[in-house]
Amino acid sequence: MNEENKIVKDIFMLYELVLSIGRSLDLSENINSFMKTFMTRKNYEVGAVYLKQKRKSQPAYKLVLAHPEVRVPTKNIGANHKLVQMLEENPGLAISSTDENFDALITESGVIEGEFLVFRLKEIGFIKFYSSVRKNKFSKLEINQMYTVIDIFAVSIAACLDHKRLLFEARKREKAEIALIAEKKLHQERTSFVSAVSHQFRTPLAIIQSNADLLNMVLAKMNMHDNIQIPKITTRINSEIDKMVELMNDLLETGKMSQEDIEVKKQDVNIESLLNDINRNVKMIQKDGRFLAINVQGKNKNITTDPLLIGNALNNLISNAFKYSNDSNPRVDVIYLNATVQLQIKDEGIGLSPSEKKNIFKPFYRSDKVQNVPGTGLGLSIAKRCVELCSGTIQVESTANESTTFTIELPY
Amino acid sequence: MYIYPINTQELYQVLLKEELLENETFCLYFSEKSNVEITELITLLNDNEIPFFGAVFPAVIDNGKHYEEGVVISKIKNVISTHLIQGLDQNEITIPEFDITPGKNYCALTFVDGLAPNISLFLSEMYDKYGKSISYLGGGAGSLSFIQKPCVLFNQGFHQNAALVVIIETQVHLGVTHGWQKLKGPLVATKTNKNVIEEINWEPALSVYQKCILEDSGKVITRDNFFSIAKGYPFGMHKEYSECIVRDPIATDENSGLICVGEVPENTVLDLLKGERSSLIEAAKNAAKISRSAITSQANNIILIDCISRTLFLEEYFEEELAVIGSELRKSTKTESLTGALTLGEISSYGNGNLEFFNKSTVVGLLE
Repeated sequence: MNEENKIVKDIFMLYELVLSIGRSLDLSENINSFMKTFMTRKNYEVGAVYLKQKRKSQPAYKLVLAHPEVRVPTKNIGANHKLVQMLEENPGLAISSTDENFDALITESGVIEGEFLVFRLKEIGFIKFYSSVRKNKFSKLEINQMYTVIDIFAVSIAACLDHKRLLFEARKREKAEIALIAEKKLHQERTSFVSAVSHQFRTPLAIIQSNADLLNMVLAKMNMHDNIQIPKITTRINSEIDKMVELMNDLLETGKMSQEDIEVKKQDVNIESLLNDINRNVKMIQKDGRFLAINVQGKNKNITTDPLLIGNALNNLISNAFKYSNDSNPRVDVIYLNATVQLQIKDEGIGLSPSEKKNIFKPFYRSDKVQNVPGTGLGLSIAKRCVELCSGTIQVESTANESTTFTIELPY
Repeated sequence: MYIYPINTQELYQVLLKEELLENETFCLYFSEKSNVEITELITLLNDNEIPFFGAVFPAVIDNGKHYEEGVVISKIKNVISTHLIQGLDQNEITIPEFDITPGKNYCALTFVDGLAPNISLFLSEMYDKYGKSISYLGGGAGSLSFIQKPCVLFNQGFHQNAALVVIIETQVHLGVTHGWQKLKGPLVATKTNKNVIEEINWEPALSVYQKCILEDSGKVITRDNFFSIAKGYPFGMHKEYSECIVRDPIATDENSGLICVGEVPENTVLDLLKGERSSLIEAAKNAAKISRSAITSQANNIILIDCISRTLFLEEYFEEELAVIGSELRKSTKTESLTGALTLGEISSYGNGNLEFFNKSTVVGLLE
């Protein structure tokens, strides 16, 4: 064969090898296509691809595909293997059985004599071939010819690995989304159930309450109020009914708040006016002479928010401030900052321990030390949700047995 | 033993009289014209618990002669197991577990539906699983009409799109060659679909093929005269340190694609080949020489798998090919047991590379 024909033949061979690469994003199909084409054309009887492992606890290189599989029992190759060391020095190796290192490179079964051809696949691994029939080992020229092909092959493997990883992540995400949808559905059903049950309880409770009142009226008419046992009983009935109604109201509120599509009706709100309205109600309810002190720092500025939601949150926090302190007056500090307004609700009451602070916004959480104080454990979780719906934040600072400060921060 | 029975019963009676030793199995080579109802024969043999396997080929070989009619009966010793691999028209092929013991010698005598589309894939999967632990020998069964129908048989039926793998515990010595020489190339099979070359050098395959043949022979190849001319112009796929792997175009499809025996991967570099009578016959002699070179005792069986298109190309000189094979083998062994078939593609693990499906080749297997 003359020189020109040989060059043409070599180019065509390289053309065929290059076009056998990247025909699939599936790792095995991609490797198989190139490896088998190379083995058939170049007359190699065993081919294997090893890829570098990411975890340091694993062997350095792991076999990902071999043909024929039965000829390659070595599934892992360590970083200290002679082959790895030689590849670090030279990215393309042709070692024949007459060479010194041949025996040290055997990782296949049934190898007596012949030639190994090994190429480093950039930084991701290596490909190894074995032939027992090639008369001459790969020349330096042939190795040089193969470098570009091998580099393209390495890039295609990297693409396959990326593709595999992305598919894995997409499947993981898909699973998470399915789980989330299922969770939302379950939550919705639970909320609907609680709402339905709460509504169903209202009627019998109303009947019980009206009958307790009726009993009081009848006793009054019969001049039997001297029997102090019966008024005590009806008072207890009414008190327990009040607790149940409060619990149901909170449950309904929690249900409403946890809905995804809750409508936030924002408008211009004068926060000081809102606090004054709340304070008027407090004065009507509060019977022990205590009152709410309101302090303002900075220039009054309206904020754009939902007054019902923020009103609900403030009512909850202020009512708690009275409930969990005895002698002192709770206070609200309104601080106008550049971008936000801070509302600090402070009391000098029983305070919170660090573990109580951690759980305080969880639904139904109630500290052991307040089990005798009426409450449902839902108020603060509702308050937090209300603030967050208005794009605000809520935080708590507290010292046990001393004081508690809840800080709501809302944007203008 | 060759027989041209008048009907199924006659063949059955012959097989009944041919007594099998305990470790023997009948290997039956049916020609397309055998006068035998194969499903009926299977029932009769099963009723008498007679072990057998076989296939239908375009023609059969017995003791140095080939026959386009009749049946050749051979007895094979030490058959360990017979496996049917179905679904060769599917892209996923499962190779069963063969019952083999490491360290012993085995031959997988393989008869495959030669018109099935995934023969190379099947061979590749089998080689992937068993590698060199088994030697492989066999060929493609089927009809020269190129109409696909059931063609491999054993006691569990008569099948198409399937391969029959018979595991024999024996040392086998193989030789495979073809003798076809490069006429023109390189060409690139730029578009293929399994065993159909759809485009060569980005043009419809038939038109490129027509042009090449016109240049060489002055003959115009058409759909009507396709096989009579194409039998002399196969394609070769390059393989270093070895003869090229031949692909035999046997027909054209409606889209001017060339239907070959065996797959042609897309973008394969091809040479157009041409045969000379002398080089083909010399190659056949060489296959016999290679196979007998390592034999140490008389062969129990000599199996000759020769491509049907060599017969069609060599015509009356084909007997010369069979004669030189016989005379070459007789230098080392008796040849009374020489049986075989003219096939649609050949299988041999001669050499150490990947297991390939050959075309237009001669495979000689000596079973010790």
